[in-house]
Amino acid sequence: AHASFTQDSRRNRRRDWTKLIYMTSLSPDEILLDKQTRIADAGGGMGDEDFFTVIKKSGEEVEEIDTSKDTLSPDHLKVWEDEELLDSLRGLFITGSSAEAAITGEDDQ
Amino acid sequence: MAQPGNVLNFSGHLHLRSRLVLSILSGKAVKIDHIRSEDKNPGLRDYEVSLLRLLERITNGTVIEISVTGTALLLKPGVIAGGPVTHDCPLSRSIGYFLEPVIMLAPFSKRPLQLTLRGITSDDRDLSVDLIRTVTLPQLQAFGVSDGLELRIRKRGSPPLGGGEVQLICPIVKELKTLNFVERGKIKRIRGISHAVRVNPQFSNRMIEAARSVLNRYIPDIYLYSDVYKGEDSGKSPGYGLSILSESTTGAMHCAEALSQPGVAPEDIALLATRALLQEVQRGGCVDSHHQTLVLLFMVLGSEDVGRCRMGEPTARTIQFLRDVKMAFGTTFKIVPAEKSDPASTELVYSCYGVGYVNANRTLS
Repeated sequence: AHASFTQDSRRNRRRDWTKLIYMTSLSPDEILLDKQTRIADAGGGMGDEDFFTVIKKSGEEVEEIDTSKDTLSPDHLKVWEDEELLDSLRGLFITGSSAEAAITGEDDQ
Repeated sequence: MAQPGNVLNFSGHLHLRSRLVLSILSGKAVKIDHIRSEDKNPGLRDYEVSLLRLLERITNGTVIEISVTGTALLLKPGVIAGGPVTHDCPLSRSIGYFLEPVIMLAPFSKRPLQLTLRGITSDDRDLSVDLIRTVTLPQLQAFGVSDGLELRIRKRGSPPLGGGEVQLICPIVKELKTLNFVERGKIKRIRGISHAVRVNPQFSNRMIEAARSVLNRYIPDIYLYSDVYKGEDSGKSPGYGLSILSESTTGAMHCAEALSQPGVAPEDIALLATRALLQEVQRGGCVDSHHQTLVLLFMVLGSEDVGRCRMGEPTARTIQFLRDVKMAFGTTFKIVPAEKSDPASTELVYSCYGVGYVNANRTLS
């Protein structure tokens, strides 16, 4: 029973991409941002006060550009100054046979 | 008059390129409205009009209608003709913007495409010609598009004035092979191209040094090529940048790049590119985020068999693309976690049944 429970919770944590992509009308950005929110919540908050919705005018904003390359943000990439994070990738290279062995075994310079 | 069922209706200016490609490949007309209709400067941009002109030239019989305000367009696709074509790209977008959709169409032309494009060879919005040459084109080989496939960088051109020139030569195929790419392997080598035009050529070496300072810890097989163009071949504006890629034992490739910005040292540009590469590698899969749509499209077009590919989580562009593919070809992908036993893994296996697209334009010889 325990095993089936852990398996169940794991499945919940996993996102069903096929369903998200083909069976919801969420915009791609909403799918990627709302990691936690369940689809069921989407229709929930319809109180009386929410009857009028403000239409967002796009005039003032910076135009969203159709591009295949995301803009690199130096701040976002700062995380890679961290040695531990850098070491965590070692297992993906042929020189690191397994992640643990690589971290303890090899030390460059 | 096209039947209602044979028109793809979209709205908005985003994803224009992939929608035009889907229209031309599927033979269905595409109608796009609300193109920046709320914008202060409504309608199509110059580079989008230029792309339409380019598509008109590599095809035969394509009819394009643009509304007076430029906020709506209708494209009735013709056949993909190929052959020699020369096109001047506007300076508002780099050559990569135009090459990406063309590469999706070129293998299905009537005659092999020899396309010369002039303009900006690398900028920070679209894939640079270096990455297209070293990463995008090799992806096509897995689908059986390989003999004579080539991108020559004749001249480099940095923004804002450009002046670069490249030539794409693409062979034609009858149909694509089914992809089965689920082993990502381990990274065995890292390659890179550090280019500098109209600046001190030493900048290129400084970028290489900085990138090596991060990457040397992983593997010894790192070769970063310093590509300095001089004189006429270096375009009209100064600029430099680092394009970098990793290749695994199974041929999985990940790439990233960063281009010069005013007031930023070459070392910082190189670090930016290197870290972006590590991020791509961390996302996992056999195909990086830049090439998801290309690979997925060719999987859909593949022979009538189940194609499978391991990739990281889809990007926003990929999600929309998958929905558009469903409209154009009726194909849906099955997307399941790649490592069912490891909950931390975000890698996914995308599989679909190919439509068995046959290049009907091809001249029989």
